[in-house]
Amino acid sequence: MLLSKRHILSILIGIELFLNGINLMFITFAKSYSSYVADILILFILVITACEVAIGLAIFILNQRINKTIDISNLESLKD
Amino acid sequence: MLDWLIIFFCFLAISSAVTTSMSSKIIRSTFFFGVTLFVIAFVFISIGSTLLGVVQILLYTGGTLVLFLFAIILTANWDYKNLGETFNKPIRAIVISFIFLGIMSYIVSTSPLMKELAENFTINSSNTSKDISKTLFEDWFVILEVASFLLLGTIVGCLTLLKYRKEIS
Repeated sequence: MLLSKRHILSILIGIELFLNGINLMFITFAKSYSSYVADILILFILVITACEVAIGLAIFILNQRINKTIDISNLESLKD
Repeated sequence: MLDWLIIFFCFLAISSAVTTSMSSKIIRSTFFFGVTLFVIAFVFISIGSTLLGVVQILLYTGGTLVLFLFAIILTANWDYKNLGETFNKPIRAIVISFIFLGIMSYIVSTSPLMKELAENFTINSSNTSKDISKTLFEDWFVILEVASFLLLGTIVGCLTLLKYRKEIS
C-alpha cells in the first residue's frame, strides 16, 4: 500500500498495518521468553502510532483544503 | 484448542490485512482495517496479554478508526469516483514486496533464534496488569515521560496545522 497507492489515507493505513505486524512480532518473542517487556514496548508503539495518525490526518485535511486534492504528489506545495 | 484459535485469528488477520491492501475504495479499506485491528486484539487476548488487547480495542481501534472516518467525512465532497485509478506503478510495488518477503523469509528460516523460538514457544498468562504498571512506572518512567511529551507535541502540531489552514483561507 505504501508503494502503490497515492491516496494519503491508504498510505496511513499501510503504515498502521506495518506497526501492527511489528506488535505481533514483539508479543511472539515476549511469550517465547515469558517476558512482559514487549507489552510495554507495544504500549509505546501504540502511542507513536496515535501521534502518527493524528499528524498524518491533519496533513491530509490540510492538503485537501489547500490543493483540493487527495493525491500525495502535491504535498510539496504545502511548504510554501 | 487454544492453539487452533490463535491460528484461526492469525489467518483472519492476514486475510483482512490483504483485503485492506487490495481494496480500491477507501471506506471498504477502512472497514477491513478495523477488522484487522479487532482480530489482532483477539490474538493479544488469546495469548495472555489481556491488557494489550483491551488497550488495542478501546484506544487504538476506537481512536484510529474514528479519526479515519472523520477524515473521510470531512473530505466527502471530493470526487471519489477515480479512486480506483490511483495505483502508482503497481508492478514495481509487487516486485519490491515479494523481494522483501523473500529476504525476510530467508532470514527467519535460517536464524537460530527463530528455531529456538519455535521450540520453546509457551503461552504464559501470569503477567498481570499490576506487574506491567509497576515496571512501567519504575523502570520505564523516563520513556513514559517522553511518550507523554510526544503526545503533547502532537496536539500542538495538529493545532498549528489547523491554524495554518485558517491563515491561508
